[in-house]
Amino acid sequence: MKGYTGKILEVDLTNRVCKETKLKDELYEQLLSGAGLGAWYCYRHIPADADPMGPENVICLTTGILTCTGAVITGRWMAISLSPATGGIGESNAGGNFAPGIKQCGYDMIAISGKADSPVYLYCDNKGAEIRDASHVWGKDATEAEDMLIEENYKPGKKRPVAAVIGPGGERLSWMAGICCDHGRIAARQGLGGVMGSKNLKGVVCAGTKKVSGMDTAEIKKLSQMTARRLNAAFMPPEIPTGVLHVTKILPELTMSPDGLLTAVLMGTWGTSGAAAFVGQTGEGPIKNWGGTQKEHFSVRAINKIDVPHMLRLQTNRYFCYSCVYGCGGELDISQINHNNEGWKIMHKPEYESQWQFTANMLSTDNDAMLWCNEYLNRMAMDTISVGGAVAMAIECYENGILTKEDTGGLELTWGNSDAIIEFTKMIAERRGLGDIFADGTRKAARILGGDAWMYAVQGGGMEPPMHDSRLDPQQATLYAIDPTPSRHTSGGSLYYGCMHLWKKVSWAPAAALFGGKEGEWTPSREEALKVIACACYKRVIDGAGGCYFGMITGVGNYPVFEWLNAATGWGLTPDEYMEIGKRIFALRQMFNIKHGKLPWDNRPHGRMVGDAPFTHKVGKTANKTVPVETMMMETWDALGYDRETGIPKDETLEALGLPYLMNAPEEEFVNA
Amino acid sequence: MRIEFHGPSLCDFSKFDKDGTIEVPDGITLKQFLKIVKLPLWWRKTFPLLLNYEKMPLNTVLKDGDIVSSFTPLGGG
Repeated sequence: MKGYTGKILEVDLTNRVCKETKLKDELYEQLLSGAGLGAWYCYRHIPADADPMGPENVICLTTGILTCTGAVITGRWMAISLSPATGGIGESNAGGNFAPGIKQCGYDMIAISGKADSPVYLYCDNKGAEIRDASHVWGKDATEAEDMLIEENYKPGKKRPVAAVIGPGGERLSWMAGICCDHGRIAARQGLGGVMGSKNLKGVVCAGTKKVSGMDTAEIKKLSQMTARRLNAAFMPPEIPTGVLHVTKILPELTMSPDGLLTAVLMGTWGTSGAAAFVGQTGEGPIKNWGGTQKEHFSVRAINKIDVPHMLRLQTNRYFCYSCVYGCGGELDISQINHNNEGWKIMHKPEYESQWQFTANMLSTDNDAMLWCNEYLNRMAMDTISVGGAVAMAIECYENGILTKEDTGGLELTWGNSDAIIEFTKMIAERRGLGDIFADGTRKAARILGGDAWMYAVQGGGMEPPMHDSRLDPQQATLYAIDPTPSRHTSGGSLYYGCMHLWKKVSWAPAAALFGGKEGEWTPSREEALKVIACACYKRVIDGAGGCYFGMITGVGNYPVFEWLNAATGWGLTPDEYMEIGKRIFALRQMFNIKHGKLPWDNRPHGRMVGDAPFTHKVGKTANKTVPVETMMMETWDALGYDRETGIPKDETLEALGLPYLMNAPEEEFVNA
Repeated sequence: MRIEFHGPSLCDFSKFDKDGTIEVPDGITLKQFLKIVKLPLWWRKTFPLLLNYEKMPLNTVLKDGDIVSSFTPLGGG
């Protein structure tokens, strides 16, 4: 076996038909598995005029080649579909334990089309798949629904099934709804939970136990032991106070080549929320809906109030996703926190994104309110980044008179008012009152509200940005803009690039500029474009492998994904050849967008994300920082072999990548009889 | 001999080449190396420090091509 199963499950909910299809090896050699395979399927099966919420849309749940092979930190699963939020390719991924569940049923991917005439869920095991009634779990929150579906399908003495479900957010067709497993590991971005809701599909339950392996299991094991040993050596004891990261204010602002291993290991100690002290000091964390600065609006004292120790004192266990040796997750006992009128007991430790969005970006220091919102949105199965962005926008609209107390139903929607933040979060999730306008994201809300509302709708291509201020990282700004799935920090950025050390293995990847001033990063050049492209292509390889971003940033020497893939598949490809696959997948996703009428310039970030006038800051770390993002987008497209002015891949580029064949050849070319 | 070093921007990188390596006298120890690059003592005592991805005593004698790594903070999500 080559890591992948070579088989996908195609589900037609309209006709209630499940069909297994075997795919040829050549397809995996061109696109890997995971997001590449999903993009390929979506390109071919979603018609150009499809409504994202219509039965003709398809949602693919996929796994990577390395999942279940013994390679560590490779437990990610991905959802790919036509996104209602962006109008282009929606791609979101999550950890937890769902990825091995799909694969142990014998599938690399489950592709779901059509619409059931009543609520259903999909059940899969070793014998195949069937569509079952879900009316009893429809309306339940994601945690309850997941527990119920697992419990009713659990056979004593057998392996416990796993499930990924939508919550009420998806049932209400929110463009900010995600798909959740393990009570809070959520493929949150791009509104793909809304797509599942539009199909009346509550969830997918996997109860398979099939064995999956790679070709050279001994080599995979050896590489995994190396990664685990190094991570263990670098592990930082939790006794280290995160407050020491405040010293970063004295760090000179220079380009760096950190050792990714020793940077990423912070995640294992504190989780991603350990980054708060750092991003607060460096200005990387956006303040006041991206309109404020730490210097003016969110002091070190405020950062200390929301810092991770407040969460760690509630932590009862560390949490590890499937095959992870990091354990960046944690379980918190929230039974005693304020605002918890629901009596919730245990929640996943919030990610930095949620933590920062529901505090600094709204000028709130109410840690308990942030925890409550995080757990509530996990249960609604909604994206904390996007919902938080919508709440922040609504606050700013209220503060500037675009919304009135009458509009908000009496709510004093002001900066830092945590009771109002909680209430408006509920209004969005329930599509209640004004919340209905914001339930489909900030771009749509701005269009409905009109006037100056667009100034406060911080988004790129219809997607609210994560909590990484791209004004301070032009590479990241460019990646927010050129990725067909826009506003996505996990595609990379200059700090991440410095960690990955790709130039040590990929011939064309430029070395990160070491130890100099950072000014050069704001100057568009072919070299900067190649760094952006290297990030973008490597991320596609990682997604095809089922790898985790936090593995990725430990560096290619510490997280040997190329070597693992060769050990699993026996392909013997060079890193350059894997990066070419990444380039192919990237172009395929761009072609998906173009097919659906979403042109590349649509992903140009909001002015606040790049420091355009009139949004240019006057003080703080972001003062006078403007990213020439349009030139950088064009440089990157040019370097990719796309048309410089339009971002559309040139015919010769598509030919060189073999894409016309992959996009248009008859089905039988790819299917094994 | 040349040593590759990854550390915070507090250190002295003035003598490093573009590949992140520095020429140092043969036979020096890890502790002596840290003095050359001026890694602050408190940083070393607070955060992990690895030699070739393993924890090693400060009196370990370095050899050509060794990699010394210290923690550098970075935001995540």
